[in-house]
Amino acid sequence: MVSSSRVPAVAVLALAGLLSAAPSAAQEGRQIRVHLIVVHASQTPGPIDPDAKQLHEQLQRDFRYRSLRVMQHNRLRMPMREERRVELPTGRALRVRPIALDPQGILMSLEMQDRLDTRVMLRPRKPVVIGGERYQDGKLFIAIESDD
Amino acid sequence: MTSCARVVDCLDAYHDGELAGLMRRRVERHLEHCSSCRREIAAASALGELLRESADAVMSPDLWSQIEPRLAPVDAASGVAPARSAPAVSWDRLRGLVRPLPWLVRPVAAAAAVALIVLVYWTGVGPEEAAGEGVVRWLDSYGNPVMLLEQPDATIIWLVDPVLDDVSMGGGFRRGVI
Repeated sequence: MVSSSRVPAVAVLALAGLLSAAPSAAQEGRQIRVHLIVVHASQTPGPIDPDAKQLHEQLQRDFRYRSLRVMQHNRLRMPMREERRVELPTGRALRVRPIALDPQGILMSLEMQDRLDTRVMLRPRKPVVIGGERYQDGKLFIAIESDD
Repeated sequence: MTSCARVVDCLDAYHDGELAGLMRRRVERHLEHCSSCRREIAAASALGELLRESADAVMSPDLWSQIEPRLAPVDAASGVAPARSAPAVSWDRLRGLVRPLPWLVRPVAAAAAVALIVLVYWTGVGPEEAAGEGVVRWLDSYGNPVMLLEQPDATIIWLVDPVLDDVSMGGGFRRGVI
């Protein structure tokens, strides 16, 4: 039995426990929305896909290519800690999983079989782009951006 | 004359200019007569100079073309390079090399730490904070080289093609070849 003098202490501890668990529980129920596009960059002359215009502006500083084509658009909705799998044209799959919410953004786990296993902070209006996977006569870029 | 045994532990501090007063004069007097200790001081100075030069060295733009021919050929069928056997160097032998020059330990350890940092960055392996601003919290690329490009408006994780991409450790990422 809990003595009467200890009741306030126990109550304070219980309240503290509830308060600390509350953000975590709120995170668990939150739906994360992510926009993922897969583009193919190539040295074969061709157009820059209008749907990849923004990505092109980010890539052209560091990469030289003559055409950019959007191959896949994926809008992913997933609860916290739940994984979504995106099949790439190369046959590899990219596995995406939100791990935690942070004031700076969403901490995401990104895994590509035998090639990459990383955790990145996905910040608002700042995509994370995975590039370098060879496909046909060029390379793939996979851009992941928070939709929230 | 002071024996070598009495000053050998101070040579490191003397070389680094950390000795003063009586102790410094004692080492200086010893060095006037002891060619063996003078050689060790000279060796330490030479090593320090070498480390400074290598830290200041600018990587050659054609570094990759120099490295590439030395890489093991890749088996066309399996796509795997044959494993290389490690040189047979025993720890006892290394320790024997280090013991006579105790002040070498610090610069060599510093150089080894720098080499390790470069290696981790180059291979992309290691559960480490890997990019600026803490964007990448953990990275494993299964032993393949990866470059992290932190742009103001995007974070790019580039899975480096060691044959095609123009990458040098000194100059960083220059151009991804599509």
